[in-house]
Amino acid sequence: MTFHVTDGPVSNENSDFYRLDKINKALALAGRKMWRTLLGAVAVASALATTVLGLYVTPKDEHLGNSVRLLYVHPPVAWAALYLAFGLTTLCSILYLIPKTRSPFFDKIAGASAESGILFLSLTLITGSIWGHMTWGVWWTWDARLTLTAVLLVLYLGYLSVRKISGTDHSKAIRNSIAALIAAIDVPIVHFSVIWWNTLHQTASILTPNLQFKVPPSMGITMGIGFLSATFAWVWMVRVRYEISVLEEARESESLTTLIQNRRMERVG
Amino acid sequence: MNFLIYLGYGIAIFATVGYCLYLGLKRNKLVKELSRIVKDSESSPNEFTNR
Repeated sequence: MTFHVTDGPVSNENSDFYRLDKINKALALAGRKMWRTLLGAVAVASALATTVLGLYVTPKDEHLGNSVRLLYVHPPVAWAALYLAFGLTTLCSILYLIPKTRSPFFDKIAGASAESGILFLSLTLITGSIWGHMTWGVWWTWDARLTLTAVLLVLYLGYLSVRKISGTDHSKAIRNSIAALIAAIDVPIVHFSVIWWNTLHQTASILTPNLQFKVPPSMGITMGIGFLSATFAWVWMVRVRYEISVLEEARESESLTTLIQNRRMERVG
Repeated sequence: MNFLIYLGYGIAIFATVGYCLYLGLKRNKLVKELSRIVKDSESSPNEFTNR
């Protein structure tokens, strides 16, 4: 049996009112500039402060020399990737899988957060590799922490690929959520890898188990600003990526409606 | 100071700023495209409702 788009009643979703309402809502979301601008400004200011303090103000380390300056970048980007970005992706995927809390909003946020997580995780690997070259004498070694972090990057790239597979909105979101939960299994393994295995990568070096700073105040403050910078940049990215998802959805809906209307006109003509 | 430290900072800053620029430009392009659709539909409502 052949299905024609002109068969059956006209769906409300294809009406001009519904279509324009969806576009207007997407444009209204994108028009809320205040928080986005504020977040961006704070992220840029804190990134500048981290760079100036990290490169020119903080002292050299007694043992590590100038290479310690990379620690104002490496842990903050790792924090943004592993705990913030992939944490939010996992949380939103769980919320989508629970029927009571299911909403397309969570699927969109999960995707937006994973994308920024991949950027931060790539930066973690790059800055870590530079650090490794300066302190261990090698760019890369098949150490447990490093290898598992590389595996994590591949897993989340796979997750973004799964998001591109076509299907209905609901089936896609279910598939995405399951893929996100599979990828998330590696996050705690990466975290505990330095404790579970004997690795080259150092264990927690900023805070003691009693939450006391292990580093001098100037280094601690610079690192703290670095963490804030990565956090604000991540929030900004997730927010803007979510807006893009909503705008793209409105555009796709518009394209589909136009296509259906053209087919109707052809039939009538 | 070692060149590699500047390289590390440079890559982190350029990658982050680059991704933010990409997001901002993509968002602005979509906003313009959808605003045009709304403007078109408002300027010729009969054409749209008659389709």
